[in-house]
Amino acid sequence: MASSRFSRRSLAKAGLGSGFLAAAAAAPGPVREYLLSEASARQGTPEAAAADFPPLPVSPVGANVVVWTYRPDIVVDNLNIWAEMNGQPTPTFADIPGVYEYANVIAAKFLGGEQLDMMYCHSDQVNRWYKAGWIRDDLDALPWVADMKSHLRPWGIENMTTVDGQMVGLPYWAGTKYWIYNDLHFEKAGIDKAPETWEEFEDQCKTLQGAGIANPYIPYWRHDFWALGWSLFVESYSDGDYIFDDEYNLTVTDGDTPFREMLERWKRMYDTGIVPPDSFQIGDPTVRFNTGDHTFCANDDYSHKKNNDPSVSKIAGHAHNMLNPGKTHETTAISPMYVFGKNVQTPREVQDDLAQFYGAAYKDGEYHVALRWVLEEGLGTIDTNVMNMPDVVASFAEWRDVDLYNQQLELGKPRNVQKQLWYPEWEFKTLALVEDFVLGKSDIGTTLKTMQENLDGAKQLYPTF
Amino acid sequence: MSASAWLRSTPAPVSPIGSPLPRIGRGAGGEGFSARMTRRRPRSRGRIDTRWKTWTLAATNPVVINQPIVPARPARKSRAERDDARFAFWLVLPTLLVVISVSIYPVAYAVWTSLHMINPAMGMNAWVGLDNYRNVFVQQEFRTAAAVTFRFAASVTILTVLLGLGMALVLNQPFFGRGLMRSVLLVPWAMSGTVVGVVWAWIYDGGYGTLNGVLYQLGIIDTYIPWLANFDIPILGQAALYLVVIAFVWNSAPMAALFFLAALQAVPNNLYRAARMDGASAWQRFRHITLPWIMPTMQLVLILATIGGIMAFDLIYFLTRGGPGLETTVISWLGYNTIFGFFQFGQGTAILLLLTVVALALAFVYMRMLDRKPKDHGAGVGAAEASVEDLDADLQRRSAQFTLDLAELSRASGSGEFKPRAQGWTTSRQARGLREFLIYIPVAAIFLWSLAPVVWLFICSVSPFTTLLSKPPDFTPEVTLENYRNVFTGASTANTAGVPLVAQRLPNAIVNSTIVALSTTVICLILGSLAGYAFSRYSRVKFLQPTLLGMMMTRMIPNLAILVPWFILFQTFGLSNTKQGLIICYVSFCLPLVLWIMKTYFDTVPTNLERAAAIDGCSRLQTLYRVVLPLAVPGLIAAGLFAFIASWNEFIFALILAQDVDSMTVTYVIAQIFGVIQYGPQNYGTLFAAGIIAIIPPVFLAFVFQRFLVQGLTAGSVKG
Repeated sequence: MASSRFSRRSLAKAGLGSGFLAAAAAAPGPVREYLLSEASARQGTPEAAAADFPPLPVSPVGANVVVWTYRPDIVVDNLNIWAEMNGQPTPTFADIPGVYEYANVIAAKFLGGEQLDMMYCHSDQVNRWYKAGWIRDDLDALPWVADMKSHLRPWGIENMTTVDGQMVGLPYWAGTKYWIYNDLHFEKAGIDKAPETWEEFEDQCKTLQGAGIANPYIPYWRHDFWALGWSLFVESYSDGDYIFDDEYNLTVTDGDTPFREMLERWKRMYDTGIVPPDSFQIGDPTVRFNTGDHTFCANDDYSHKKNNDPSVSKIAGHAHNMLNPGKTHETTAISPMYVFGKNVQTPREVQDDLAQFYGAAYKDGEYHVALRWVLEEGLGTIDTNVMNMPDVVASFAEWRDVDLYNQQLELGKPRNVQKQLWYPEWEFKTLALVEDFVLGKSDIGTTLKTMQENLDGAKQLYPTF
Repeated sequence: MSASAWLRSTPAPVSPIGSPLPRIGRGAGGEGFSARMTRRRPRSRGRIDTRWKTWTLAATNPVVINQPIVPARPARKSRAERDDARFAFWLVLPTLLVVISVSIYPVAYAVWTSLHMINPAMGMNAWVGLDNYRNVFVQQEFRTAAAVTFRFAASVTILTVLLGLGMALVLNQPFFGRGLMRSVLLVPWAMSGTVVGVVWAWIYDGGYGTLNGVLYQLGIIDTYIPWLANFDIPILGQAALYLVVIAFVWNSAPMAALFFLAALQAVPNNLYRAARMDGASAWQRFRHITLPWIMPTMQLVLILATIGGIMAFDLIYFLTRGGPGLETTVISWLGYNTIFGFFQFGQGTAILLLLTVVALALAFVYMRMLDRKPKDHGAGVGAAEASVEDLDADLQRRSAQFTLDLAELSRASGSGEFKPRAQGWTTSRQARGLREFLIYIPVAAIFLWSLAPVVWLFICSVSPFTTLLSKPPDFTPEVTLENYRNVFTGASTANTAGVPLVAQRLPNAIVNSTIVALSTTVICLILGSLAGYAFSRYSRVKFLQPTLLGMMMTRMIPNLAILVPWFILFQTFGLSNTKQGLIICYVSFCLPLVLWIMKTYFDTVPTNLERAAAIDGCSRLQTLYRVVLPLAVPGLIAAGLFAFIASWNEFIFALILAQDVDSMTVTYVIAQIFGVIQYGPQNYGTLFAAGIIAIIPPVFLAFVFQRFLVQGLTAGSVKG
């Protein structure tokens, strides 16, 4: 385990000790200790480290930070470390349960006039918050940003950039959806390699059905933007079809496009039982895949770790990632980010410093936050400096094929259309249309035509940037 | 003893919710003595004025009612009436101030929003008048959602009433363990929406779901069934919608059952005995005695179930998210998405307020139906200041009513509607034994229905997670307390990924929830009992009726429509992330309901004692404090339990208003654990353990107080 490796290293370096190690000892962890001891070693003593940093003005109030609930212990710990290092008051912190509720609560907070220093943000919200004037749009002016951008994945930068071209976010984590297969079933059905095209994928599913696997494929089709909404694009991108052109016009309503082929394939897979009949209602594909009843699963890449975790999975050690099937194997990836409130009580320098601590290599050269997410949780990042660290590669290699993973991320593309204000409404209607088609309640022509009509209607309500 | 003698010993019927209950006979202008007592006022059906109120009620009702005969009021208000009005005003004022001060701004803001085109991302805030409402009706999605909402609400209402009544009928029979069963009945009600959603999602799952597992183990199915998949039920449509309905009814039917149970306990047994002697079958007894008696309760349950069905949101959110297609997209889900998904605040609020209009319209109809019943307190006329003449008239009326009941039973018997019971094996001891045994079949069904999901939740909470994925399921897994340790002392490891650290907020959250729920309960009881007393005793004071209606209306606005104004209000007054803020919020929601229950209860408390206290020199307040409130203790406990559980289980406002560790509540932490697990380790064991721990306090209270709960709603009927 990577964590044990870090534990040994951290133990060896623990003697270097530091003041802020003690201060933050409330939630010890091997990666955390490693990071802090590395920083201490580099700077000598914490006092020396503090002396090397330009002094920050002490904020009259603690920074106000809101995130969605995901390892809040790590978030709080990081905040405390930062505050301790810089003599700042303890930040105020809240974690909101659920990705969906989170965005709504943030909207309510901004509308209610709450001042937020830093918060998480998904790519689909960033442009709204920017257009509403809630978040800072001057991050490009920070002195360390240009250097940081040089080693970020381009699609990640694009995800964090507004329709007007300003970068408004800093990298939190990044990932994509990829396909995972269960090698036990491959063995059972005599399949020796993962499929490279969708035709091969479908053929292998039929072979697997012949070998007694009733529903070989668990798709990620739950009725929401995170699952079906994203799957529509990932799978279409893998055949080189981006669905929208650069002017945000639909390109899939006429002719035999890969998108149309994908929808027809989905219907075939539904009709022939390749996917389970309740595919649109499967709440958590990870748990379903972990039963060992299925061969393929499309899922968030970080969930792969849980497929190979024996405490929650019956197929631990047998779940492997593969390159997304398709003509181009491309994908669309997401990169949730940190964004920063525009109107805050905290001094600007303090907010900038917090931004650097969280979103980039800090003044001491360490990736205090990013590295913890990668090593402790298996989350990816768009920062290739972090992803290429030997320890990170070794950590990932314990449960995924890192080369294939990196290859897949290299083939990532942004999904800029979700920045349009009309997109959520169009997507809401599109999900229902797609489901109706797959379930046999409408034909492909009507589905595509209605998608276009819905787009035309939505564009009349909202501007297109 | 003859049937008529039984009838003479029968106390006047009073509904457990306070409305007077009908006698079994028909009789507007009916036969015998009642015909002389009942006057008609031509062309006045449904319209009530002071002078004709009590007479016309009998004429407009399908059944004969116990009506107090109240002399016509003089045109000018007497000094006593002015004193009444003043006293009632002061009793109601605190409640009125609370409800108005905390509700008026959110409601007004919501209405204002619905008349504007508001999109913060577009910097748009323009007056559009009723355009948002007009636009709603041209949307295909809205029309579809309206149809789905209708099907959902109708199904919920019908099933809640039928199931609630069925369970109450069973639990009203004497059998060993009845007290325990009445407590078991309450368990589903004590579970929060988050836990109910998670439990039922797991039950229905087509891959590892409990329902499939049980049916498979019993040999009923040989392959797992994807319950939430795309299949239609003839006539009804998509099955997914009705599976959500079942989960919804599981959670809500206990409340209905309690109301019905309380009503059934108020039905005098001697009526049944008299009917049996005349040979009435079980169905005939139900049709002619039980059903008329519980009709007001039926109407109350209809109101609550209909509003609950129309406003449903949580379970849709957890189980189907509106899909497949738009098959489970109800109006509240559409409104929610329009506000927060599309950022169309005006349009979304208009959609939600349309729900309010529908709910208000239905509630108005129901309340009119309830309001047609005159007051009767079982021990005399309703007005506190009734005269000796009133009492005499009341006595005469009762005498007449007994005669009427006897005549009605005789008529039914003579017409052959009731068949005299044949002597034979059906009356033998063996037959009674068989009947006593057979009652355990529905009892077992209720036990399973109420408790099986909770027992399953408990089993999951003490099982290693991977055993839950077994197919077929292993119902005797090894036991582990790891999940419970995570909640109290567990450390975050690579495999639990922070879950314990979130779960360990639960004990503190239980303290917070207890403080919030108890405070809410106490405040509601103090204010609600004062106001409830005024609404009960001084209903003739003109401003009270519209005030009561207005306060009840505040319960019919979807919470989603007033989330943002509530947040603004809290920010303005520095109440965000405080327990005090939550208490204020919950008081505003619970108070109207508590008030209603207390009013209902006071309606059942005889007024004779108050008159006696007045003669002894007690002031009005002293009478209330020394005489009425001690009598109303069971009612206070019942209303308190309602307020406590409603506050305990609330989620949406807890999510928006209290995110600080010092103020976050149980439902919030449960949602956090769910969020961490869903996007983290996917090991739901800790969530199951937290779900069990979270229901302990309300279930404990329900167990302790269920006796008072039933008494609280019925005790008044036997005091008369």
